[in-house]
Amino acid sequence: MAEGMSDQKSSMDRAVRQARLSLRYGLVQAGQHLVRARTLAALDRGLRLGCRMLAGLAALYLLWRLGVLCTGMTDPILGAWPFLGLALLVSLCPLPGLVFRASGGLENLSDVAERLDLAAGNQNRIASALSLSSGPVGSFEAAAVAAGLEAVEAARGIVPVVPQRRLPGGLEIGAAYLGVVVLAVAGFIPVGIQGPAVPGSGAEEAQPRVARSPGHLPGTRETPREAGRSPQEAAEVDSSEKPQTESARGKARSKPSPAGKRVKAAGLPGKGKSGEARQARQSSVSRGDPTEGDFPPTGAPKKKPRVGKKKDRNPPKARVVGQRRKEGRQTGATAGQGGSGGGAMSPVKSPWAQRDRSSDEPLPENPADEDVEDEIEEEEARGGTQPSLRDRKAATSRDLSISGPGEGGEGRGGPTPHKKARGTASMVLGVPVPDFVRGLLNPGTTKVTHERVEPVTSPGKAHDPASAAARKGLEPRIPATRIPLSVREVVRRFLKSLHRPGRTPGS
Amino acid sequence: MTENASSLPGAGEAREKSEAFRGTVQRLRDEIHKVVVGQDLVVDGVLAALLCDGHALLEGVPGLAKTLLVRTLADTLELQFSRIQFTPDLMPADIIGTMVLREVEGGRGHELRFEEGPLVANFILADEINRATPKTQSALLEAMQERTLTVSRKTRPLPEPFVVLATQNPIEQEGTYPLPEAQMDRFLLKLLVDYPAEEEYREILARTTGEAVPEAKPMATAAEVLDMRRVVRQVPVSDQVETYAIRLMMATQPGSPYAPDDVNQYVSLGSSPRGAQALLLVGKFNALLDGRFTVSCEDVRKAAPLVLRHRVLMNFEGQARRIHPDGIVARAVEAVPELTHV
Repeated sequence: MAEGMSDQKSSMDRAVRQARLSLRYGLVQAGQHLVRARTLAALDRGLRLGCRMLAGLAALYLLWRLGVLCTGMTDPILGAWPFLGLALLVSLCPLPGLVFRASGGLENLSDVAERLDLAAGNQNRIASALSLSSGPVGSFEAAAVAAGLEAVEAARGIVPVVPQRRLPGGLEIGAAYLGVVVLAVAGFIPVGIQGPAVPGSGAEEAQPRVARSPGHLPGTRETPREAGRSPQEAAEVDSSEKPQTESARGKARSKPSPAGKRVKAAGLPGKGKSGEARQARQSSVSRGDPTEGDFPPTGAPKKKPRVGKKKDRNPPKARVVGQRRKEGRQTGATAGQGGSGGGAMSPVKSPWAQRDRSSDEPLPENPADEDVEDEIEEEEARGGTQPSLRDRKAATSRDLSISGPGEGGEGRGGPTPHKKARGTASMVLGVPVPDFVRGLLNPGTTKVTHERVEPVTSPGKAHDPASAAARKGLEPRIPATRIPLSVREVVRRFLKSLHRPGRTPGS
Repeated sequence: MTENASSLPGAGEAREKSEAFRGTVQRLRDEIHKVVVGQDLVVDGVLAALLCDGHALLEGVPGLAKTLLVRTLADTLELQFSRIQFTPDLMPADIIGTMVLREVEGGRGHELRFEEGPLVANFILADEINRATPKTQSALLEAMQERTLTVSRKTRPLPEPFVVLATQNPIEQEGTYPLPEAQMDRFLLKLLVDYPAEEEYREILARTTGEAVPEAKPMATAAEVLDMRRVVRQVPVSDQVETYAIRLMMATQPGSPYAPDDVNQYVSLGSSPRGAQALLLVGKFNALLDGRFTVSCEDVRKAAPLVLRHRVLMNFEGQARRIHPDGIVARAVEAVPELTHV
């Protein structure tokens, strides 16, 4: 019995091995088709890559030329046409490698079988037969190999599925043309000095002939403005300024310099501002501009964005207290500060008044934002929504004697402001009370008020009944809603921030 | 149509097994359809779970014959059937069993004996499973995965075959407890039971409002079911299809190289390795029903929604946008190519 089974097993093994050879033989022809298609695909890919590289190189060259033009530096790169030839060579470099790699070597028969199955709609019979013929053979494996052999015979004239062959299309050809045009345009951009100056060439003559000062550093150009200075002024300016480009100097001029340097530069003509502007600036300095101490200069480096750990965001306590005192005066909050104080409430002091000075300057950071965050942190530290401590003031005096106008409306009688209401935080409108349960999409327990009223038909059209539970097919990828996209985004961001980890309800 | 695959020695045996398998499945289908009208996909799914040695979760609104289907299937198989109605006050001991103090025969004292619960059976219908508390739901974990019960430090094997078919209602979510992910993962398939078509309603009315009440007769025994399970496991899988199933499973995991954008954006938890096992097992069942001897990528694709939809957990954004796991699985199927080397 056992011998019979082993004989059957060995005969099955032999038959499967032979079937494997037949399978491989049948797949070789399909493999040749595949190699040809792959070579064409590689050619296509190489040409597309070349077109894109050419366009990219042209764009880089154009940027370089523009940079050279702006900075007035020397251009060590070749002219446009030699560069075009070089760029073409570079762009075509990957092509031979790609084609050689695609056309060389023996095709993987498993890949051929998979592609042939796809082309013939064989439900992976050929690839399965090829894969199973090399492993341990059972009755199902033998049946699968036999089915694969039949499928190979049936798919003899079918070309396997190959990668899409597509020669460079409009986009790539257009990019290449554009690259050539850009290179040509870039070559004609007039740059001050084109390459190293050759004695006797036109480039040398094109340079402005200026008298060099005794202290002039070799390798730097002297502008006509600088040439007009006296040696002392030039030396003074040179000692205070590092050698830099014209554009960098322009930027530096736009920045307010420290007082000492400003005094030093005050006598120099042509510093980028009109005489009236400078005069106005100096007069405001002499008057003691109240805004100068509160707001940073516009050219000063901005504060880093408030990201990272909470502790890092907290400013030193002393600074915060000082800032709050200032802000309390600026925001015009009347809580706990009495009625007067017009000096501090002067519109000159207001940050909004700064807008009138120049519209191009970025707005200073609004201190109120920081104030709100500090308030939130304070509340979190106290374990939930609490009334703001900053609004706390001393209890109203119980002294019933008649008094004049006092701080916070204290006293009785007399022309005093209105009394402040005394109550708990929950009575104050605007204090958020948590009405949701964290981690749940729906609100938590809600209080429902029952009213004894007769039902009344509402005017309007009733909704048609719809099937609530029948699930027909798949859900749409993104369900269409009637809410505008902008509102959806706002709601989504709000919900995400609401449910972000670490946030406590009501904070 | 069965392939003509008897040209190699040994292939005839596979052909006989395949035909016997298909014949038995067809008989079971016919018998079930004597009672249950339509719902072909659900019937095939339940049979797949039974013959692939898995469990199935049926979800649908009340009145769509979920419980009737499971009862009818139990009638067509000569198996021990047990129905458990899950309620919020059901305790683990109510379904597993507990130690009971009993008098020893002859009045020689008392002893603690294990009284088996309804879980000790071949065919379990866990009706409205999401109405029980997580504690009771978790009592099923060991039974579903290891086919054993552990009470009082003693592990007892459950009878073979052991199948749990659970039902739950999607809209009656008040007072229910969602199944934990660990338990969802133990279900081989999740089947969505839909409303019948118009013609099927006529047939339902004709069968249920007349004088004769349709009944299903036994068509297979426990031994036959175990034999059929062995046949399913004998179906070989090629490297290509295995790779495809693995990539499809990985495509549901956010951050994996095969995951499409929707998965990365809307999914918080993808399928576990059990998903790939289930894809291949159900793929084998599909191949046998189709008369083939190996699993194809199409078989895996056909199994993907049933197998993966309950293994994909949406994140907050996905829930807020009401993205259904079926859509995510469809995106994963689109994203994974059939070819091993593209």
